[in-house]
Amino acid sequence: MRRVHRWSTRLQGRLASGPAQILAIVAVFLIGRSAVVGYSDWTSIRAMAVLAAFLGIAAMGQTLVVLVGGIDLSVPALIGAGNVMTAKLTGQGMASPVVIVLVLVAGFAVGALNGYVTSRWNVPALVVTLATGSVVGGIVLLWTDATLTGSAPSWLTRFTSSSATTGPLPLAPVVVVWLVLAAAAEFVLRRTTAGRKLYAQGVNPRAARLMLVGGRSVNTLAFACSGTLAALAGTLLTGFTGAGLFDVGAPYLFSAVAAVVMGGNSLLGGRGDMLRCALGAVILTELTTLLVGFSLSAAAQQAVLGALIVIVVASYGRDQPLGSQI
Amino acid sequence: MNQRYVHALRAPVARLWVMAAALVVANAVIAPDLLHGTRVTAMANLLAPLALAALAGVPSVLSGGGGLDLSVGPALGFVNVVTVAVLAEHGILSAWLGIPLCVLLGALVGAVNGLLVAYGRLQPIVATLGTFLVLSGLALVVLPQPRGGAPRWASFLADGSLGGYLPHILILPAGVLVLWAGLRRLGLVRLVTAVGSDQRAAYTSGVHVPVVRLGAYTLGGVFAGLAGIALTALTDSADPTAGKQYTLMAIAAVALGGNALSGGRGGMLGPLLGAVVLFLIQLLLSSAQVSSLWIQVVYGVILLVALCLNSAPRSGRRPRVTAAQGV
Repeated sequence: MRRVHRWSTRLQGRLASGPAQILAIVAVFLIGRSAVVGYSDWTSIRAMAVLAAFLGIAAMGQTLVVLVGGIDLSVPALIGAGNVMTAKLTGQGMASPVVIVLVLVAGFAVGALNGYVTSRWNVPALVVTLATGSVVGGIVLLWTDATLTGSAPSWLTRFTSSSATTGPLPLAPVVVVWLVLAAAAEFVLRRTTAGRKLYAQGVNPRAARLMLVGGRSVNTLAFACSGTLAALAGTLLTGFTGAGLFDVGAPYLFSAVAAVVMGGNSLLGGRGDMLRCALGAVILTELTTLLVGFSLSAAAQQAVLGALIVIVVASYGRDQPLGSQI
Repeated sequence: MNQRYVHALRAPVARLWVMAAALVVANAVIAPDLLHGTRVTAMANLLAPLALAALAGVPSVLSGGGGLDLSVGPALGFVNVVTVAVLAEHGILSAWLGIPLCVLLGALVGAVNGLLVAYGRLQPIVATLGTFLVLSGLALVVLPQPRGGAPRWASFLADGSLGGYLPHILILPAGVLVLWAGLRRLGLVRLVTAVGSDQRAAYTSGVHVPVVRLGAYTLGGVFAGLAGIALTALTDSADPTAGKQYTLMAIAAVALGGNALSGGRGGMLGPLLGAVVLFLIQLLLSSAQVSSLWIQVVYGVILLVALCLNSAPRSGRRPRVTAAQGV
């Protein structure tokens, strides 16, 4: 009995490091294929890839923040801000490169503020980002009077259309951008000093400080990257929505966090990577699409999604029992 | 002498008292009719669900391990919906039956969270995010549209006041504080604190960590049930979407109250005062007739400033290095 238990714990440990998420992706896909007509069609897969890309880009920033032991709830406000800024400035005739730079700088600034305040005054990131999110969301509301404004640049609409192709690849450019960004971030995390500092800070901030690798700059940079990526997700979403809407980011409040965790990353900091975050975004998108396919009411969909998130995470994302942590 | 006052002001709770007092004065200057009897009752009714939601967030945060209860808001909203759409619908109008059932429902939600966290060994944010989604979905399934028809005890709680000054609704938070004091007396709160500050140390000293965590989440659920009762009293009706907004405000109040979100440190008074401060900020903004679009901006700025003012003072000592928790 004991041996079986030890064996199963070891198996769980193995699975948690990657293959389990892929198994979950395949399992959900097969369930969807047998339960929903057209779920495995090429068009719907391409549409899912685009949705997963938006979620994945926002969740990448969240992963960086989670790795240093924080959490970023200003993501939806920044997505909304990026979305509205892009649509409005384009509507006023500004060139796209300038718009994108402006949006990214704004996201970087808000994120850096989050990180600086969090580490300078030693206050919980959750509440700080909630407050800055409220401020940014409010400013966007004031700027747009809570209406649909501006328009998306035409190249961006093609960029995010699910029927678009990238050279020979049958995927929309936004998906390729996401995958390239994720690969680059994974490389930075694994192979560069900056990435290792991030892990050191997340595992034990005090030890990191004594080793002279942690501190405010690491924290600030992680949050700033999160802000930048959220703003970028907002810009890309403009191509999808066609115009700027202040609350376009609202669904991403918890789904960005959920994607990070469904990939198997730990919210306690120091454990996780970008690959898992990308897998988490794919699983979450698959589940959401599956529930839409069952033609349930929006309320019932939400309830079932909550239960499914718990079940999927419970199948590979459980912590070790306390007795074996000593 | 002077030194002692400065020292006392360093305590987070003391600074919250000062903040709350300043906000009360500011409110009284802007809207002098605030202190009349009927207005006081109305204020207490508005404050009660937020204050109870903040208290409901305390035990889970205290129990550590990244403990956090996102489901507080939907749980209290669900209790509100069930009170009107299920209990009142089936003729359960008596307070003696209705109120315990509401508390029981809250406890049940809390126990599910606790089971998922303590025995399912899921990260608290994921487990409670799951119940958050399930409950906010279920509330809309049970009651798609807001509807009136709350039991009579709701309006009793909302309208009356003892001796014209002490609103009935304050029974609920007072009950929570008495219950908490009792648990503290029995040493149960200390168990939660021990688990929250270092779960491995607690485990090796013979504390049954999962049971303590389960208890903490269940207790939070009980308080959320009481918050649902307060929401029913406030609105005298049921609204399936009203509860959600309380989750983030409750967590903000807990953090503002000086409780460590990493667990193991903090009490009930701080979060209660934190909720009062948040409430007074909103009250001030609305009675100063700030445009509704500006409220969000100003609220965020004030929350940020209050948080920084109330942060732990930086000591001159070098921090001690301890083993990281939960890694």
